[in-house]
Amino acid sequence: MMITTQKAKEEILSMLSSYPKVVIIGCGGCAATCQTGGSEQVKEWEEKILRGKVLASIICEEPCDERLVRRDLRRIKRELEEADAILVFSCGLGVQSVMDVTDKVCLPGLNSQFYGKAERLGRFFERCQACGDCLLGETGGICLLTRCPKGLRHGPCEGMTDGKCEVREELDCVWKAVYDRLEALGQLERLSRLHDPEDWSKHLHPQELIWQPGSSAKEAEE
Amino acid sequence: MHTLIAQLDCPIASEVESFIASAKRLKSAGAYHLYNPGGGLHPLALGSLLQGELKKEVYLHFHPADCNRAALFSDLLTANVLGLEKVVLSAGQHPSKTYLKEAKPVYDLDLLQFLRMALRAKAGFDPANGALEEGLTLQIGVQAKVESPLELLRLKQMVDMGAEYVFLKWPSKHLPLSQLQKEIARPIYLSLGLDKIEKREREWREVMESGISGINIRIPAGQEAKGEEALKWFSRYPWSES
Repeated sequence: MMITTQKAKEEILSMLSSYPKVVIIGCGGCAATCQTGGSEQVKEWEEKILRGKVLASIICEEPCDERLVRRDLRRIKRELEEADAILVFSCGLGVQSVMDVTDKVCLPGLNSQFYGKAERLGRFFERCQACGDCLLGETGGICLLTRCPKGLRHGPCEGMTDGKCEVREELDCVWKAVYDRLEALGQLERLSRLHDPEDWSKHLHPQELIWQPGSSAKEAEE
Repeated sequence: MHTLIAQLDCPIASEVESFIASAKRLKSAGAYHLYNPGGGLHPLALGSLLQGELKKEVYLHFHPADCNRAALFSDLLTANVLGLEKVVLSAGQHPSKTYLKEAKPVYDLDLLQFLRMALRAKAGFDPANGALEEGLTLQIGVQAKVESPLELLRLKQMVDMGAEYVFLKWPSKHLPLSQLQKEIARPIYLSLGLDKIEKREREWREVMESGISGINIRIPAGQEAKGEEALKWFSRYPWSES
């Protein structure tokens, strides 16, 4: 999921200062799990912080999906027409989906931090960078691009000291974990493979994945 | 005979005279090793000046922490043109550990990938596999530390790929030095921090007799007198036989 944090109250209020009438949209997916843009947070902003300014609020099931945004916003069509701005408590994808659907001024209430897995509520860990070239099968299921601060495909670097990371000294070097995992799996030979560097020509922004008519999702990826 | 190498950080400065003067004070150094943690004067420029003025060998240290493969290849080409043959490759210190913490870390290549690119340049190929007019005349070494089986595996990989010598961060506890020397069969230069040197003759005699090719001492700016003292001490090896 996309891990988010809420922007400072002062920053949000500053963004909203020239917009007297506001609609708030929350996220029923990732931001709700992160407790940054779910119903409680939206309610607090509507009833306490922006009291009297908010024409309507809604929790969109997944604001990053334009189809769901269109569907959910039908319920507050009139308020949206009246609003000067929309405050969106979701990741950047949600903010942009709402903007594309409504053509209104859309302001972000959250900062998108990283793709993370939830260990339990309030404990989120970055574990994937959507690199487009997954090597988890080679590394005992540990993402080096994410968990090594240098993103090395052949580590460790010479900065490792007593098994600790050069950059985040409180953490064990992830390469130690990879070695231990592959040893346990009887796959240490995988460490001897030389991987090519990333081909950045395949990652020109903005990336798109568009299924052609009649093709399957798998074919589109290929 | 051991080569004594003074490793110096490339200064963040707009003039080079004081740097050259500091380097000159290290009279016992047989060679210099220039490392730019990021944001300092370029080792190519300093190396060219040092080699020209002091007539001593210079090791240029390149790393991918703040350069992508295009910039690194450009550095290798330029070193070749300037006649600076000795290059030491490493992963390099993460920018967050340098004075410019806010800089973006690059690491377009890791050390093995960088080494492969450098060796291919030596063999006459650019990073896009185009043929160069002639291969680069470089002597390519790597910086390594061997405190675990994985680090030993990586070092052996690099030697198998063609690394010609090793700057071994010391202490590297995984294997006795003499055994490591036998296993990799390449010249080893021990890389020491100036503050970590304890002048215990008996211990160092064992190290010096293990087959290493030299000692590289990292000398922080402003500590040239202490650095020269350490270099001089090593130059007196085998010290007294008492």
